[in-house]
Amino acid sequence: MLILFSLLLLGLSVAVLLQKRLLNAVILLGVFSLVSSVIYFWIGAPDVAVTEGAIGVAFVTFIYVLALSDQGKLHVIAEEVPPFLFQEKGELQGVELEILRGFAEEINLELEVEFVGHQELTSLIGGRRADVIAGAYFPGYLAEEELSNSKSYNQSQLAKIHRSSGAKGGIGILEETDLSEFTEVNEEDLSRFSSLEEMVRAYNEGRIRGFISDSGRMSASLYRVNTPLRDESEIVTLGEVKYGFAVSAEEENLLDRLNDYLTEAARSGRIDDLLSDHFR
Amino acid sequence: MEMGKYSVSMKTLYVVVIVVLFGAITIGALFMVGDSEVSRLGAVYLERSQEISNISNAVFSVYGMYRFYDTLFELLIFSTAVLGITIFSDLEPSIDSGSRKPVESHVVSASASFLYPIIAVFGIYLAFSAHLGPGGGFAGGVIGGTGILLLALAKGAEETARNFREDSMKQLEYLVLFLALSVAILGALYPIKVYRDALGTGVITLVNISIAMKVFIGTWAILHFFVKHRGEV
Amino acid sequence: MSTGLLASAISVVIVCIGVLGLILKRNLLMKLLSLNIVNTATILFFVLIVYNPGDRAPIDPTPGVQYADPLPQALVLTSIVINFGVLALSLLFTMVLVKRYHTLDLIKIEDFVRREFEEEKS
Repeated sequence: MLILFSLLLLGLSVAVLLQKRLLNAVILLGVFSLVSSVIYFWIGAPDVAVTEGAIGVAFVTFIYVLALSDQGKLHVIAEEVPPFLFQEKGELQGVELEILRGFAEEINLELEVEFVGHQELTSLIGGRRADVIAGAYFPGYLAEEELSNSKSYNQSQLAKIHRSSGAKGGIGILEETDLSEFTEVNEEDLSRFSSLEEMVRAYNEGRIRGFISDSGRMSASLYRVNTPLRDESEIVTLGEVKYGFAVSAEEENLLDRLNDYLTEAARSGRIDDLLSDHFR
Repeated sequence: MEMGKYSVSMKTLYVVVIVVLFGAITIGALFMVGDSEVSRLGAVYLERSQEISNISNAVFSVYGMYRFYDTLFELLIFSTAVLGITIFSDLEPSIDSGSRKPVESHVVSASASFLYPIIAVFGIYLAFSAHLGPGGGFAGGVIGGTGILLLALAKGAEETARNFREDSMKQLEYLVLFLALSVAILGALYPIKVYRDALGTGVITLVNISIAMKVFIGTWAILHFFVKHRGEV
Repeated sequence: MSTGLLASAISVVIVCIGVLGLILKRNLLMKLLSLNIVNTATILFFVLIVYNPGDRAPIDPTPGVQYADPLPQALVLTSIVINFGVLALSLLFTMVLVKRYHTLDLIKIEDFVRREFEEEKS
């Protein structure tokens, strides 16, 4: 019987080390401790059995689970922008997801994507609750000094959509977007919005005469604009934007690794494949 | 590619060396040692605990009486580990308490308030009766800590931390350490027989309670740190 | 050969597996798990090597009855608690490392530390 239990322990120890997922390994380690506690009781060591039972099964498992609960994860916060990073039928999809998943695998962390509102982005990254900002991010999108931008993986245009005739009101723009590079736009003319949906609704209702956004968001939002409006609208290109990611300015190591990964992926042509897959 | 080959061969080298080493130890354990029996010292301790009327647990008589210095210094090692954790706990910023709430579950919280006193009493019982039956200071302290674990899971770490205040815990820790050290020094000054006759079972209980409190406070500090920095489960 | 010796030989094999995991695994948390296995198996070895079939727990000993050896039990009892404290401390250091380098891979952490060191030197 004792030999049988010892062989069970042997099998469990091998099983712990063969696990791919850390959580499974931790739970198996708890079982390992439980079986060893049974052996101690069996061979006349009840003091050791009680102590090993309480520590090995309860405490060690608990602190491992707590330590795992946050670390070993790459926290990505993003706005939902359809071709880039979005959810469909409960499943994450998009070109940025593929890139970030590859990056997370490269640095041995588990990817965790959290969709948040436009306004929460900076506060979350400032409070160290998240590591990477994604979701059609481009330099200048958030006027935040605490951020550092990664290399870009795709280029696109910053565009202005406005009604061709008979419109009044200002030009809509998202809060915190920095337009200092594009001086054509008059600051007094702008009205700020806290989310894309709100801005599109205001445009639909005729409260503003147009809005400025990058073309990725623009094409996503055009689906939500009524058909007559879409026919009446005119799109003007203001400049170029480079889609990339952002990390907190203090996280230099993470930025280095992200840049290394993006360079490598661009060189191997993986990014081009992904872009042609997702943007047809 | 060269590097890859190199690291693979190093890996096999490691595996071979370790397997050979431990294989040798295993064979030694199997064939060099004859049939085992109770070691000479162990037999002595068993005999002595038969003589002493108020200690019936021979394991306790080893770690609580005859080898109390071993236990004392191992407690000091444990305290050092806990001290390292508390120092880092002060250095590291903790996540804000409002952002994460414990999972509300009526079954868990109701059963916790029902079970916690039972667990606490069981831990105290083990700590007090170490010289009579299985258990002892270590098991008692750890089981008390398990009660805290249950409370932290059910009611949230914040409330649990409020119930067991940090500053009073720290003072209690020093008091307990002082108690253990004074017991040890008294034991060094007087022959164990005199000492036992003077205090009776009281000194045994003193030893036990100091071990149990030390372990309890240590596990509480570790749990508190991990819950504070990793949020609720 | 007694059952206790055979079982202690198996526990040495478990220690061997744990040490192999400690060396071959690149994930820091996997290394800690292997260390945990080594701890438990070592304690098991100490308790098992003095075991004879029919041993009773060394409580309330009376002459003429066969009891388990209390000495190794008392010695490993303290080490279980210390293992827990040391494990908590090393988990804390792992958390600090992950916060700084965003990886659990030890080889990559070493690369980063080396790079930082060289940058500091130049």
